[in-house]
Amino acid sequence: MTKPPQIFILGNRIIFILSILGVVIAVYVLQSFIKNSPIICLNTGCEIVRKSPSSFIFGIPVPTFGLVGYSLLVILTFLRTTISDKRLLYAILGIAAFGVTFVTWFTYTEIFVIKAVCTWCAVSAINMTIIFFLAVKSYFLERKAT
Amino acid sequence: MKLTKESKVFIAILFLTVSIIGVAVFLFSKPETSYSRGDMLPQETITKGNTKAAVYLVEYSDFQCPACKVVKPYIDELMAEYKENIVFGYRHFPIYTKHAFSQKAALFAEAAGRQNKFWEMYDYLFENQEVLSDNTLWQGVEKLELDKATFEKDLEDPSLKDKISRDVESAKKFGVNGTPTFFLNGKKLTLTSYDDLKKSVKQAIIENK
Repeated sequence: MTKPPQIFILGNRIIFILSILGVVIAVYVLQSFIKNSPIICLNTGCEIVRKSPSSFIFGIPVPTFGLVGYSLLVILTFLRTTISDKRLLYAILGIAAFGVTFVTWFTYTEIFVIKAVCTWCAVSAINMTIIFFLAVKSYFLERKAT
Repeated sequence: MKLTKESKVFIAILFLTVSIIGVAVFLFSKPETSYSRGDMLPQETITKGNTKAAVYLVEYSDFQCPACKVVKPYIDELMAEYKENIVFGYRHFPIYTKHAFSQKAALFAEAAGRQNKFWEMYDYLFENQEVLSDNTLWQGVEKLELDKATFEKDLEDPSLKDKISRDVESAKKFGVNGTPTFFLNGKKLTLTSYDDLKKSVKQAIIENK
């Protein structure tokens, strides 16, 4: 039960904060989907995206996936502060990789299918990409340290 | 599971985030205040549409406010489409510290109203918003073929000024801090776009049918 080295702690901390940000965005956008209320957005894209059938996967609103993914990341990064188990990092890496794939697919859908970009989705896509790179960096640094 | 110093930092971050969000949600979810029809549309307010309609829309506006001009076609469209289902009231909120002719334009509209040409003057004032001056105001009087002598007399009538002042006072009471501000069936509308105005009105009409 030892703490990870200092450098990983910083990366883990950033992933934790970015994941909380992701949860906040996902909750805000999801409640608009559920309540069918307008999303406060920098452009008009959020409303177009919210109303598009492409924003539902098997009837589930897209932000639900974000909420689940980011929540898991919050839990896993927190667990990494108490348990020194490499599987936690692998899980973070796996979720982040899936997240990046998901946001890439959804950004593509927004641009080419829905033909509108939602600001919150764009922020979330950037957020998830940063998390992914931090997870990859953590993986290599941790592997080097052992 | 033993909490490390880092775990406590994480808990603190989480706690801080939840607190900030909690405060934000509390501040933004204050219960909507609803004002009575009598408060919103006193007898003296000039209206158009069906005065007996269940749906009433009130706009606090300034004839020199550019956004008020932008929203006008949306109102015209709504009134053309739903004139039987809605009553629209125009109330004054001239921001004369910013717009030199807004107070005077409001007076001209009210004076025109005395000759049953409020809405014609309303159209004229918004059409000429960018070039409003004493000259254009009087040109409006001529264009609308108003009785000039009566008009001049009405302009001097302090009750017109008082009416505008009452509108401004009511606006302050209802929390209006800019123009245009809309109240639909007594509830202040928070619009992200002017299309939302149309949607809200349509929704209210459906609900009140």
